[in-house]
Amino acid sequence: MSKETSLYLKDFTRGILKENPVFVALLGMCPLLGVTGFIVNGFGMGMAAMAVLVASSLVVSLLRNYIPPQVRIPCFIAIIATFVTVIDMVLQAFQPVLYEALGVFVPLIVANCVILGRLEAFSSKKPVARSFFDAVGAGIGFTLALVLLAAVREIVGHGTILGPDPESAIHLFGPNFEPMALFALPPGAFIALGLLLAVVNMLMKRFNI
Amino acid sequence: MRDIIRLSLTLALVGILSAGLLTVVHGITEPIIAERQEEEYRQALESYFPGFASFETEEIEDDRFDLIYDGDGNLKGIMSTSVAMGYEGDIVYNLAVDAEGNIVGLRVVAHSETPGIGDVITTESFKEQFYGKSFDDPITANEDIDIVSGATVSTVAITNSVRRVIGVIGEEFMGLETIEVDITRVPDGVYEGSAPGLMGPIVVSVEVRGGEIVDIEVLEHEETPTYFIEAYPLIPDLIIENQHFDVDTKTGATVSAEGIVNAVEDALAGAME
Amino acid sequence: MDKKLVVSSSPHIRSIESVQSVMTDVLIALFPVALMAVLLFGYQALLTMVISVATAMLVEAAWLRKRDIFGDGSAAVTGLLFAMILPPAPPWWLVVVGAAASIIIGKQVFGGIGYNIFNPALVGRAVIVMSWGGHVAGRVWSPPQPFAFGADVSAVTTATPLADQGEALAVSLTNLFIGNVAGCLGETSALALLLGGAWLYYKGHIDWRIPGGYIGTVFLMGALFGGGFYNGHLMTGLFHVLAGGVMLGALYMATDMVTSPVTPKGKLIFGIGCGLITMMIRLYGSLPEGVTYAILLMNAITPIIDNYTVPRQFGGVKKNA
Repeated sequence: MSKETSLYLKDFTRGILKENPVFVALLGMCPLLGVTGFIVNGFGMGMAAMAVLVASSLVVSLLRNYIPPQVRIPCFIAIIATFVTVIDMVLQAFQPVLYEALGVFVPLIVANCVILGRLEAFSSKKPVARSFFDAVGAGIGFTLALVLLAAVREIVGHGTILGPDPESAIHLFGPNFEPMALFALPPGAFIALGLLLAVVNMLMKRFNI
Repeated sequence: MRDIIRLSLTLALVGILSAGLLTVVHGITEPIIAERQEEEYRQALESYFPGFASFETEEIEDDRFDLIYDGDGNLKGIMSTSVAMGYEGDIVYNLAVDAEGNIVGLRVVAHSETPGIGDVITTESFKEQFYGKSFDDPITANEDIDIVSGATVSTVAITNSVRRVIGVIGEEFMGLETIEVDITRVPDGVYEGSAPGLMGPIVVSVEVRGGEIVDIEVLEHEETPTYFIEAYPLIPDLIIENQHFDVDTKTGATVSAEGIVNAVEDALAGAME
Repeated sequence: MDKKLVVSSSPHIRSIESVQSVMTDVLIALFPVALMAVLLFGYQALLTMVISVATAMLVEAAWLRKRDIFGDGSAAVTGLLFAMILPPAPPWWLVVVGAAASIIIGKQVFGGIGYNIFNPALVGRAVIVMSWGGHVAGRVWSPPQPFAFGADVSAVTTATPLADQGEALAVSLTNLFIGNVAGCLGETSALALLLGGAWLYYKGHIDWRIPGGYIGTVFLMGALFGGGFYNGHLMTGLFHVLAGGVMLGALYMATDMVTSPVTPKGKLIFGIGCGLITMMIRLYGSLPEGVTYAILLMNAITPIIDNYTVPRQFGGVKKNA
């Protein structure tokens, strides 16, 4: 493996586990708690955030030598907001079901700290290729966390996977199962996140990550 | 000074570029979005009124009514678009009614009720309770519509709104006549009547003597006690005092208050016949 | 301890009172309540209590990796209290999940006994109310069948007097006091609750200020704002004290040492706060009963209350504001 490839690999994997935006940095809590009622929604949110993150990372990295440091934050926000709006319109046009489910959380990607954090800490200082891998890694890490939390909440809180669409939903425990609705509700999101964080921290400690 | 100009220019440039990109994307997606929503509405119409030819829109206060016609210009039915006040905000829904005034479809267009709780209003098992009912039916919570426990506010909101909308449809488009009650012509006696409250039917007995209401008593109700005391005995007292039904029902329990008024009206309407 | 000399930092006051002795006293105080529950609701009540207590003790022992199932007795108290705030015959899995949630989410995640912010049993109830509202709210309450141990009380269900005015008017104050009324296992009998409360007071485990402030506030608000539907205003106040979980909450839950203030003034504020929130929910909220959330909310601000009600030290000087 050449030195360059290993560097890219490091940029890529860092965001997934070691510096996972959710489990380690505890960033992006708002969409994390808001849309993780169903795995499908969590995954959709993760993908939308990743698309915005990668696109704005590339642009910011390209422009990093032209944006004066005094106005970098407004520029970042403008760039993120642009891509968020693009995603919002594209989803509404081509993925209406997901758009309905994600609701207000798509526009709120603008204020997602995961994205601004990666732009500020990485893309604004590093070359385009490295920024790309970093953004994809962080995006995957964020999506992973969303899907994990959504899986816990959907399985316990609804007793299904691949809901809420009744055509694709698979009821895991049969029709007589009474799901623990608490986990489908906002307070349950906090409780589930807390328990999940505890498990992840325990595993990370054990395997020395 | 040069700095300020440079910074402003950079920001302006970023702004212009993003505005340009957004304009392009908006231009592409907007017609698709509008077409899709139109298409969904048409599909809904087609599923409730197969083979319809055209529709005419009429707006009455905040509700929209689309009168659906077949190829020969006969009324096939009516599709309304109305808003109910749910737990988390507005619930926008379509109510499809056939030419005889029977509900054939209920379609929730947009809502923000709690996922897993209030969103039962979108499930078929809840909605099908309304199918086949018309303005002759009570459409009342806990009477002919089962309320989902845990999602009381959402399900009661839809129930009460549907009852109101189908009443409007009946009066405006189906020639439903309401009996004009003239208290002075009601023979002496004690009459019973009922009307829907918020949580179930309210049953009253009304005593008339010498063309005047002398006593109103609530026999049965399922309203929340702490709210109901806002409407009872205040509303009966007001009716007896004024000897007409046009009393101010804006209390802490408006729906219950209206229910009492309607129940009294119902009792006397029965007496007129 | 095999060392003769133990050197430790203050406090040096020794007391024979231990966690275990306190918990045993609470269990004794709960005995009349549990007995009354079995007399009123029969074997199903006993079963619910046994499942709840067993689950709580097992979960706690497993979490702490200890063989000693009874331990300091706090898990048994939590389990029994949790059973007291359930309907007479809930599904067994609901009792198990709720009791386990009481111990895990209510207590152990905060660091175990002494560190929990909220009353564990009430956390368990909040969890199941939010998860399976259909089983613990609405018309799920069975009217008691006194002295019929083998009867299936769950065959008939009704609403509690708090939820339904008609039910309320059908119940006499005497029945409310004795407990011959639909409701949670442990909340119906004010008589048994007062007996147990008196024992706790006699042993010095509870202070009059919390139950006094709580019950007093509920009575006042019930009399003033209850609408007087229950044979006049004063009787309505009394009705609000005796119906529902106020007695159970005020005597056994709000007085939990860990989650209530330690200062005398703070205790009074805590009790009054519980009463206010309970009555707000009952009279103006959409739920018929508010004891659970009232105590949980006041638990949350206990540290703040303590912080602002620290008594002046003897000989201390009043601070100039």
